[in-house]
Amino acid sequence: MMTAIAAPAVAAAGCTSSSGVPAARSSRFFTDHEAAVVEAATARIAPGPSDDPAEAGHPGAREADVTGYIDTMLSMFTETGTPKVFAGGPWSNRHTSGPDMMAMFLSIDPVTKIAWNKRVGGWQRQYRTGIASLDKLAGGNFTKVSAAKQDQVLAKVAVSSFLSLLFEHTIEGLYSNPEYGGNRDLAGWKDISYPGDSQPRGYTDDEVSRSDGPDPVGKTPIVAAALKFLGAV
Amino acid sequence: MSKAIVIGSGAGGSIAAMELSQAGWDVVVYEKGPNHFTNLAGPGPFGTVFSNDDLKLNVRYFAGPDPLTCPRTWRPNAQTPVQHTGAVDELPQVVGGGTTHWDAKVPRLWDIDFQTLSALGPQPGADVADWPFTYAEIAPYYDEVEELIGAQGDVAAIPDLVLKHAPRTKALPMPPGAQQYSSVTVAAGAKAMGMHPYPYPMAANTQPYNDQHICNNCGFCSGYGCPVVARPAALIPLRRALGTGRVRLVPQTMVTKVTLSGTKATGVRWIRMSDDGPVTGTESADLVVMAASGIETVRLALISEFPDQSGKLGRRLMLHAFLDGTAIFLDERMHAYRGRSITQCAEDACDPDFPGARAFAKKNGLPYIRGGIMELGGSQDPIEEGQAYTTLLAFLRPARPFGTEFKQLMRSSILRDRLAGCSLIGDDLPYLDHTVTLDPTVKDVFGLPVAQITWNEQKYEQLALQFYANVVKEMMIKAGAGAAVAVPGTDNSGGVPTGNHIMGGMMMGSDPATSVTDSYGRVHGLDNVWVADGSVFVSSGGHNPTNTIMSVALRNMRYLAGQPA
Repeated sequence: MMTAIAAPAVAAAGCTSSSGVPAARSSRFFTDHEAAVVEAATARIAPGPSDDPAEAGHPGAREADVTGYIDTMLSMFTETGTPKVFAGGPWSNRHTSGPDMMAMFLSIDPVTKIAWNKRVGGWQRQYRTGIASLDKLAGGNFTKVSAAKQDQVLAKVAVSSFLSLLFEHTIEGLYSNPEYGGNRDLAGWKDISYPGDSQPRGYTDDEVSRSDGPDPVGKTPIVAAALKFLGAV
Repeated sequence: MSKAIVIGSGAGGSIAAMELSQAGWDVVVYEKGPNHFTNLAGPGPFGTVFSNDDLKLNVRYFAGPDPLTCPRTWRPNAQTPVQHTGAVDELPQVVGGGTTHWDAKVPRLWDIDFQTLSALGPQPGADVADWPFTYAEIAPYYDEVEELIGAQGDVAAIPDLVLKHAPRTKALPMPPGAQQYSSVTVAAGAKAMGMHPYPYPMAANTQPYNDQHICNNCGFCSGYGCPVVARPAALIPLRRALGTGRVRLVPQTMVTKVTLSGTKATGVRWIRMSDDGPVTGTESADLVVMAASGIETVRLALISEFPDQSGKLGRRLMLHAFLDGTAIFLDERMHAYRGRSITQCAEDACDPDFPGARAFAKKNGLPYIRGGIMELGGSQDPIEEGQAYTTLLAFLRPARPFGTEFKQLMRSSILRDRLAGCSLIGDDLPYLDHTVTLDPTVKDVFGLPVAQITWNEQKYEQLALQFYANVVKEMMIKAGAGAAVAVPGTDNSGGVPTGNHIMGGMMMGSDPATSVTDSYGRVHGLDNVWVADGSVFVSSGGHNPTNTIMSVALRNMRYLAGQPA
């Protein structure tokens, strides 16, 4: 059942307007080289068509601008305007006309500001040292070695905690709402057949209750191994 | 008229504010977190900045609290050092409290949950006890809460076993909404096992109600705030309270102490953060109602050095023993991202006489075991799905735990779009050594000691989870799953409790020697301090607790409001 819901007349208290999506960035955290290392590393974590022939037709971290997502996050307190911690609401403009209210980031309360200053400061240090470690393990410049060598470097124990952080942020940059600076052109969502935010449209009762029909899973070796681990019948 | 302070604006605090203000009290409601709603006083729909945003709600603590500024600590038992500092079973810290992030499930506790000791007898090592009232006494308050906040469901579809233990005399105010394909699919497995699934009673609008919108099946319920506020819950009693003109709601302000003089509370001290640092103040009152949720209410009582005649203050913490069932469907997608998160449930496992359960308990030296309500057909969103694959890849592909295989897993969506799980909310017995205490070293952003949680699953809970893991797995296979596994929730979190159901610590009872609060929630030994949240629970039951918190608060606060001021 669909219901007509009027957009709120005003954005809730605390909203301030930002420049929308994609935003013109007023400041960046990464140097050009650091950005290139992060782009190369995240493209190994979630490769796209130009990174791995197996991914033909499937955009990855590079295409979704995961590096832009990470840099936006690390610059939240140095860019002008509201820190980009919490995108606004109650909805975007993807399913309705009118402004993208998710692009109007919310002002944050003083306790939240303390927490995110601390968190972002920690991540900034981890990126600076993590990127330097990748370069060092690659013999000087991570971006100049082969994909196979990059994979070997990323799998080294010495950078395992940095890999975890990069992986976590790659996932966020691929699959979070695009207002946060990643998931460019909804590349992340499209690749996994995920519709993302649905308000104010929602779903019809029929869409909720019906089967979408047969759609057998492709049992690639990793999917088969995961199913076995998860109790394949 | 006299003045009351209510600490917390969630399930219990909103009810306290409504009852007291309608009886003529002036009320100040302190809420530690921010307000994400507009138009609280009405009329017409509430506005909000909650949204369909996985990152904001599930990763970045929009509903708070942020573990970097307001952490907790956890240890499995008193003999083990703290094993985790950070998020420990956090409830939202915002106006509306836990009723912002809940998926609005409103099943009722059973008669035997209120009379556990007399109906089922003791359990070794546990402090099993009866509540100071029966199901029959609380039932009209359940009815009233369902009508107040607006609940959907079909009494005709509720199975006999449930109606035997939780009888109803009234229809729910609204009919059930569209049933999710994922829920109906898993429910078919439950039926094939001889269980009795039915549409999960929920406090989400399927018709215009309370001037609020109808739920439009957006799919972002559990863990999210509702963008159209179709499940307003605590906002309804808050609005009624504000409508009296006698209520002041103060967000972003934390009560740091209830000030006592002899057996009377004289008021509270509070603190709030500004960009220039903390600001403190005091407020005097004739009455204090604590409703900061189980763990935070106990923390405040300990900081305020409440009397503890029974020695049970902060003890008997109950968090539910969760079982996480994962069912993966290989031939079609379950699309559990559409609709009200989880629309079917089964209560058969709440029954100590579930087929085989008595014999299994006896074989293992216990008089009985109980599971809890099964939530049928839930899933997760892409960021959590991706995180699950990183764990799997580290195990399955240690030499190269990333790359195209990660993306193949994401596209297969075996842990999202093909997932239709079963979460069982297991009965958690009250133990005197499951506690909330003040951590000796860790402080929050204001410099106050944080809550230290001591809790794990004991023999009773472990055996129940072991027994029902097999039941759930068989049910999911009968539903057609191509892969199925069921494990205790704490197996997935390194032991740290994460279920967001907080009960006990300030148990009710008529005898001050064996309980912390009296038969109506007043703290024994204090004349004018009352508790109106989950901390007064005597048993946990095996059900989502929020509507029971609201119903018990309604009973107790109405009694209090009828007392001479």
